Amino acid sequence: MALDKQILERLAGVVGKDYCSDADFIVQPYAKSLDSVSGRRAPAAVVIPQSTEEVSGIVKIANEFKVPILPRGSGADLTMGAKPTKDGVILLDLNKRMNKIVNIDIDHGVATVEAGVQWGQLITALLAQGYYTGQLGPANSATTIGGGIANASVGGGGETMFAGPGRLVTSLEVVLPTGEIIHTGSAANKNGKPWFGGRFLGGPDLTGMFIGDPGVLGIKTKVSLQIFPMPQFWKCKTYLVPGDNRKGLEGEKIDLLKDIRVAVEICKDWEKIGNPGIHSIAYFNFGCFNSMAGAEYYEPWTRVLEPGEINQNGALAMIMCAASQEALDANLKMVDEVCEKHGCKVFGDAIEEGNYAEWLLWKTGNWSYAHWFWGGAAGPGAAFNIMDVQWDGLVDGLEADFKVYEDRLIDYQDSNMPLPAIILSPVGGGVKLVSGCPTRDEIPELPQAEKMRFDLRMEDARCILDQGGMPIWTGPLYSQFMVEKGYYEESYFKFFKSIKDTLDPNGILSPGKFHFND
Amino acid sequence: MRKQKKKLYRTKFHNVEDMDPRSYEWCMQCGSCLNDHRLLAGIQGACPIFNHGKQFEVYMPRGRMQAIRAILEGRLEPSQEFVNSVYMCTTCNVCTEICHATHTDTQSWPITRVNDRANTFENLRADLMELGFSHLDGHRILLRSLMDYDNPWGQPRRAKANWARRTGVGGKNLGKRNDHIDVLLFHGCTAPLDQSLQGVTLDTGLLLDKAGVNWGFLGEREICCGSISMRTGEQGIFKGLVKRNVELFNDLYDNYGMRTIVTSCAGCFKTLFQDYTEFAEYDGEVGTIKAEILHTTQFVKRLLEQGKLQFGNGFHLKATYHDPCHLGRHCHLYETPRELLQSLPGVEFQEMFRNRKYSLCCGCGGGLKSGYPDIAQSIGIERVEEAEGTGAQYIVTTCPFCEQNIRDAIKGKSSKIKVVDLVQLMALSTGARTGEVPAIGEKSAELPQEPYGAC
Repeated sequence: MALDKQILERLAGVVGKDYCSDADFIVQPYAKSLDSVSGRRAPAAVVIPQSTEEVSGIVKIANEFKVPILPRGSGADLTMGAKPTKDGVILLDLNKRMNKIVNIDIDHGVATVEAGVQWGQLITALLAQGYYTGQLGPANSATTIGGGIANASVGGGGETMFAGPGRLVTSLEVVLPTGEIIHTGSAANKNGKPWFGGRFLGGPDLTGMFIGDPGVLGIKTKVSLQIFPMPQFWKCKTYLVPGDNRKGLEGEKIDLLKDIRVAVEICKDWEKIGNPGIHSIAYFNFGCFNSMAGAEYYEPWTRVLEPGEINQNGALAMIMCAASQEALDANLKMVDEVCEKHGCKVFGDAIEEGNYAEWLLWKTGNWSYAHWFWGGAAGPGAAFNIMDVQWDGLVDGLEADFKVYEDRLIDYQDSNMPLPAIILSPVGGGVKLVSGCPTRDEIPELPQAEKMRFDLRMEDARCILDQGGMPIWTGPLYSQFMVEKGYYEESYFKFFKSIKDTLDPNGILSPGKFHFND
Repeated sequence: MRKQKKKLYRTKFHNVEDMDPRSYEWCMQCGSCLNDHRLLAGIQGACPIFNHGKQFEVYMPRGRMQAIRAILEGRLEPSQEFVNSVYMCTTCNVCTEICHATHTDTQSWPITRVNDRANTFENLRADLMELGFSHLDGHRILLRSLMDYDNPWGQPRRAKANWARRTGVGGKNLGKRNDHIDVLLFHGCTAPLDQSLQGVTLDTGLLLDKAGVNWGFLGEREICCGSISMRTGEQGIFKGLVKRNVELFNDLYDNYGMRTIVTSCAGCFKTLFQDYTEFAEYDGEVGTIKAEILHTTQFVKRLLEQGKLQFGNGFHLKATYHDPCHLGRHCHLYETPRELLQSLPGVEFQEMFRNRKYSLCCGCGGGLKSGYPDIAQSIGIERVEEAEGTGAQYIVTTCPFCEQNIRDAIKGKSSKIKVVDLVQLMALSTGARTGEVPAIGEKSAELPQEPYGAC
């Protein structure tokens, strides 16, 4: 749907005509989200603002003409959120010009960045001063900080020590859906500024209201994050977790979740001793290794197994850090003892000996969800679910999930989704769970194939939602499913909607990114 | 140029569709190819256009991949504006190296070649040209010259042998008639025809003399390898050049004993070594080159191992190495030039942060310098600044085309750093040549100063 030329001229007046276009060749590349289930829909126009004031100007024009707008970071949304959910939308690309690191304030333990700064970009700048954001990686270092905060996720997984980017935010600068600009946390004081401990001051935690919103309550234009000195002593270790390696002959029932159950017990035991020095943990089941780890890892991994024997073991990859070598060694001893108790094999320290954790950290530069898995998945997108679930819901959820996989094996295979991959990243009392299948789709995205993938993905999600799990990204994908299937408490949903209606009376901001059923 | 004969969409974009479907289907939109920073893995930025060109997605690899899908699926009609955006790319291929669908640490080399983004974009350019869209002005001039003179620099054929007339070299000039040789020096177009770069060709010849190699060069009979036509989407012109060159080389192989082709140009090397071979696999009308094809650095390494050359003369200089995209990311030749440079006596070597497969392009390739010279210059300046940060006095590289752009960036920035070809340092160290360490673009007493060529 073409945009009124008058609106385009007004937008050009705000950002300049070089940064505003409705040409087909400009808008079509913005038609995809990262997922492989939602097809493509191009915005009516794309604008690339350079400042908070320009964002505010765009929002005011959108309200004047009642035209929907969609802010987006680097466009790597797994839940259909990086592309419009309806026609006629103006897309704001915040990654290209609002990508400056505003300030790294070592004294006050905080870094302030424009929302379009990428995680890797900030971490690189911080490391130069011996600091970091408390995350290793993140999973996709190319994603923007604004996007990560809006989805409460990016960089997620494996952050045992710091538990996700949302907790690290101290203050936000937000353009509200009506165009006003506000600052939260300690920066709400006219004389104040963001600082490490400043988030919960002066009133309710309005910073938190915009974390995981997902971009429907305001456009984050600047983010202030806590920063930490980079620990000097590190250790990466990888443990092979025992699984059920019976052959399954003559109808013998195999427990495909045995290794996961053991991994859960190990992680719970580590939690009980306070996760001593553990920075990050990620568990990868055998499905991950078999299908996606790549020759470099699969070969040494198989070498430590019994030759000729069936292997259905997964591996725990763990990163520790400490302020001294003595502390590191002492913590490592405690951690190792737990693994020994549960019968794990330990991979050698070298990458060549199968130390997956070492490789993830130092060679790929991506940790936790192992962004490079997407390389294994490839194709036009990934059909993963990423959800947090508490310990006592995890195994039941996965049992249901594996049952679905067994029942619908043909559908999975027809959709080029050959086997279930599971990644677990403990976050305290539970895990961030990646489940589902990679899609190796080398053919055009046929609508029926997308629908099948959508169904399978939601079926997979249902198994975890039924056990009390929640997605870390809501987006059009999960929010619609959860609202329509009645997962949200009714009063919560009404409360959220009333906030949205109050802040965005014209309903112009990110329509459909959360399914308000209107 | 890896192609196969099956199609998914059956559009007019047959050059793209002839490729393995993964090469145009596999893009998840993760965004790493635009701009990524993974300090622990040595990644600091990705597509050079992100910081130096236009900023809509379509000007960068991910957006271009999405545009290809839109075209194939009928959602986008190509326009001249779109064509212009397709040419805003150096085809440096950092997008391929950084892409998680082509991860070279988890996937093998053939997979990387299948998912060669630069190659996909070259085929897209070829399709657009076949559909009748216009080249950029700068490309038109080069391609006209290529058709008229067999070189892109608007110079007569005989000018290609000028470098050999200035100083006596022992190589046989095969420009008039063929002769028996072991090694053919394929000097390419850029170095012999750019006055400031002739030293690269000359010193290559002197090195071969020093090692006692029976070598020759084609001089005025040498035909452009066709790289520029391949990069700018003129695959018809490219095919014609491939046929003529293969015929010429194989005649020397069959009848005059020539077994090795050596070139000091990374662009010629990539084209002869990789594109010709893959073109022949796809197109039955062209043959393959029978002789082995080596970059000069590979050949010198062999001569050193055979004891035919020795590094002796020392330097007192600090140097860094710039990876030419055609030698590095395209052909994965990273270590040989480094080994040679670091084994030169008196060279203190300092790596730039972005090196090997994640190095920053000089900004010159893919027709960017002729199509968008301002952007090429801007990227070149970023690379020069990075080199300055190492404290090096010299940027050493192995590609005349890179040397052109780095030379111009040094001038544009008024930098004190100098650029030199590795061949020139090796010629000095082996005693193949005497004199001071040269610097490309600076006046030299050894070569007469004449007006520059087409550059």
